[in-house]
Amino acid sequence: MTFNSFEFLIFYPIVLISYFLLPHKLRWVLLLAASYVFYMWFSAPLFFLILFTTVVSWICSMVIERTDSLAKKRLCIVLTLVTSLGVLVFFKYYNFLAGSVMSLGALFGAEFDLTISGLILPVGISFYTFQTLSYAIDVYRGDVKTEHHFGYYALFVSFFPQLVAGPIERPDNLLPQLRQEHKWNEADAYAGAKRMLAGFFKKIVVADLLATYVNSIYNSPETATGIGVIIASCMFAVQIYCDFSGYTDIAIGCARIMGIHLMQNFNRPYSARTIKEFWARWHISLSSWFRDYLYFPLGGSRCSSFKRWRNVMIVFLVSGLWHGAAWNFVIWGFLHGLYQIIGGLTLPLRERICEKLHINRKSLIYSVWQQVFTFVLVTFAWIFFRANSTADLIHLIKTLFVGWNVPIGEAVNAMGLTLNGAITSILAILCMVLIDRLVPHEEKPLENGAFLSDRVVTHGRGGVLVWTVIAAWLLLLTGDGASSFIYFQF
Amino acid sequence: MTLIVSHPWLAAFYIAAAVIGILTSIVKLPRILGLFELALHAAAIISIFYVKGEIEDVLLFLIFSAAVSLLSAYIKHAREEKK
Repeated sequence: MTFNSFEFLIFYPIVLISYFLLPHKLRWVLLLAASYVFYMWFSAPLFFLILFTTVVSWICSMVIERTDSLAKKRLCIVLTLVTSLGVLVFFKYYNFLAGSVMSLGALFGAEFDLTISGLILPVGISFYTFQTLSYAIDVYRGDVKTEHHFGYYALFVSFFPQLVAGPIERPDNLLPQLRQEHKWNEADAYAGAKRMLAGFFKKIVVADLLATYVNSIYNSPETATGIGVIIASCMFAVQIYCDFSGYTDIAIGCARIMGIHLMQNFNRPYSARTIKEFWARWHISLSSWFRDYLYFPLGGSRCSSFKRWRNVMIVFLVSGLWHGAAWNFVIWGFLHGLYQIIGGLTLPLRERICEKLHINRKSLIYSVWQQVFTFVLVTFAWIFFRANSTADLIHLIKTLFVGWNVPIGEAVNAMGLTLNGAITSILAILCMVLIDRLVPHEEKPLENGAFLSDRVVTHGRGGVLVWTVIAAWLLLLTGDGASSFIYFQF
Repeated sequence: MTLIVSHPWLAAFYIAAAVIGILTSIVKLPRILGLFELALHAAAIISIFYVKGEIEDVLLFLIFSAAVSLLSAYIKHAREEKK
């Protein structure tokens, strides 16, 4: 079941009420059972995969803790890496690799079929695999204590709010909170409910509405125009942010009501002034995972310049591949790596140019320019991310540069973008920007016990947002707007 | 918005929703006004359907109301932060 489904509206209140009615020592049982039910709603047989990954990583971690032999510790960590990554690689990348080999063979006239039909990608596998790996590696390094209670560990791996699309939690943040007793707290409940409302608004009102216009271009690239590709790509940039951060907001809100604080995953990424800053604000749990478990072990930036940029490119290629088993995702990752390398290499030159031209790099105008330029770079890369195939991608990029022989009005109409639709989209995006600024990520209590956001998100305003979400949901039910979350496919 | 062109009196609902959205940010209004706000929005939705408008028109009205309300709240919040 997804967060924006009728089943979840029944499931979550039942779990929540039961959670606070049960004594603390039984709560992990309830949450674990609920998490497995939540997961099995997608696919019951694939539940055994997550169970397998959980059992293997837990046993290996226990052995790592109990043995003094370095060789045994290494064997256990390698076993954990091989089994967890092996399962991920098989289910996610086998058909992609097989297809690539077949295409290569076809170049030499060899015809054969290595693909496995019916091989489905287990929901959330990329997320829970990385979560188990971070636990196993941290135990191996001695950074966290081993969790001896299998139930709590299994719950850490499968905690339903963040199971299928993150945030990718770290053991030192989530495990202690799962063990801690949480009493009903009005402040947590209020903050969590507001966060969930913000998430539903972003997903249902903004992302799903924009999806209809994005799909009109990306699902039919042969009829696209240059202006259509630009508008659809900008809309996709907003759509994917609202879709993913909306999911994260709902996940964080769900957990917050139970008194559990999940890590933040977004920090207004389109306010970034550089690509490096963008990745410190976008999908923070994944970028920090890659930083700690791939970039730093490779040497990070504490090596020669060549190795530093090599490490950056490796991280972004792997990140691209993590997002999807297709060459356009790899190219997307490559682009971001290239952006960072070029940005890093040209920084001294750009600073000298600004000095010569007396440009104040701390001025508002310069800051706006940087944000716009970064947005353009990121949005161009999103074309590679969103394209349905390599052929579509080539067509879209070509259209971007040569597809300008249609009047702008006609091109916009061809997307199905009416005046009503355009005004609705602009207002919805404005609401999203304001909500991101008004619903603080961390509720800071004021001196009189109230919360800052109490002043700005009043009950009346909250009511309007609820009605807007309901109206958008009804509209989408009658149309064919997107309903699943984009990041579920990863 | 195209519905307002054919039925200009609907603009009154937009203006009323905007005024209430701005007022709730500027002054502390009595709780009864919350009921009035609810009634206003309900009346607007009913009116839109009465003139054969569709769910898109309802959504546009609600998003407009939310946008004005959130924008005025943000402006007030930004001013307070500056102080």
